[in-house]
Amino acid sequence: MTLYAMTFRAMGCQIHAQLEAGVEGHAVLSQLPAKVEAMEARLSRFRPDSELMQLNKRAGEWVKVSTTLLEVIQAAKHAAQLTNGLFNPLVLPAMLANGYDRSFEQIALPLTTAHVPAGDWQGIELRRSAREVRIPPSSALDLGGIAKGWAAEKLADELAQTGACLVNMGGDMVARGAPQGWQGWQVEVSDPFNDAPLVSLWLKDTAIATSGSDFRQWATQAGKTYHHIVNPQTGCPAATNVLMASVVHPHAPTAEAYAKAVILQGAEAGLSWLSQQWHAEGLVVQDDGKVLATANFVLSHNERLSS
Amino acid sequence: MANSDRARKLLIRTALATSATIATLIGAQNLAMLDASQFQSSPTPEADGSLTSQPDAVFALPMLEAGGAGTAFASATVPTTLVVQATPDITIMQAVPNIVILRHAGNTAPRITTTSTSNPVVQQPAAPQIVPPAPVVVQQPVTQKSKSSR
Repeated sequence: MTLYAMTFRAMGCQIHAQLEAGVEGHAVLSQLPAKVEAMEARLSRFRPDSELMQLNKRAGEWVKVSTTLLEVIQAAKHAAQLTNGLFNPLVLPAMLANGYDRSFEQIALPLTTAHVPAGDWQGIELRRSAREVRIPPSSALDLGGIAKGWAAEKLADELAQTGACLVNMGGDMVARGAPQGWQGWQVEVSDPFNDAPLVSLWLKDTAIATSGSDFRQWATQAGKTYHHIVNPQTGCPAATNVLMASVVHPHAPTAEAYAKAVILQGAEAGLSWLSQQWHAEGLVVQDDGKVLATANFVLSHNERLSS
Repeated sequence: MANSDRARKLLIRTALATSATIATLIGAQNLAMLDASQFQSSPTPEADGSLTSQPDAVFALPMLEAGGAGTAFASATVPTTLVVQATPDITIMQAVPNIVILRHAGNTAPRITTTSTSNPVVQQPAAPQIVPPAPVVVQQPVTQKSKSSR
């Protein structure tokens, strides 16, 4: 068995994959960039010609979509249900109003002080057998983090048919199996204050997602600092004491949605809520440097925390 | 003669065993009565409001020793406190039910921020990679970092 690794940039983030396999592993892994490019072409909100943006242009109408887009919208709606709307995929108009109207690297002049609450996620309708979707009139989908989680899981499931693997899409990771002689894939949660490892975990047949207001920030003309975690109810950047939240969950899109939900609720309320969710565990870093975790996170990863 | 001696010895042994049993029973009863009287003389939580236990409140307000970041926690009122040494600067303890503190506030190195400011340089979208990336063989799994998407 050989361990293959590959790194490239797509979907606005760094993507890294590792696969333990025989000689066929090289060819299997080589297909990854093309697969990610195909996903991005459908799911990106920064490409006017993407399937997602075409759907957004036709808000209020039933639109036939690809299986890829249907699955991600389905995952997004499910995540909204699980978080009681704290995660809301219809947050795009609010993001645009806050100035996040282009990929982060290009954000220049934040625009406005007007805030636009997100649309009603329950108004997203799906006809699965016909592969049709209708979003509420005047609304628009942003599948950002959910799409990354979904893509990481999809790719990991495909790679897992060849061997144990880890897929890392900009910090959101899915592990399938473990490399020979190891209890899992080693993952470090980084401290947003200095990028040093905060905790180290073994990931096996599960996923981790990290979200935060620490990185994607920009300044408004009024001198305010904005970040990309928007409260769907107010349309404003979330007022929270959480700088970063990491959630471990078997389902990567759910982990991503839970991380955002924790941020929106604040550290203690968010973690208390998270600890009541099925198979969820997590850790937060507050803006004052304090680090909190759910008790099951510590129990699961105590060995690595203690080392 | 021999039968008479044997009968006397048996009678004496039986008497000793019986008296020992009775003494044990009387002693146990005395101890039980002593405990009961002490229990009745002490204030009950209901009788004295200041002693009413509030487990949730106790958990929500862990007693911390002064000294700031990285200081060990102390709690005499939380018998189930979970304290685990994580790294030299990280101590884990039960804070509220289901939540543990891994690090105190303020115990951080200078923060790295990446903020887009006014006076921006508008960048062109990244060009597609001309040379497709290729897998490489690694000797052991490469540790990955989970952090905000970038």
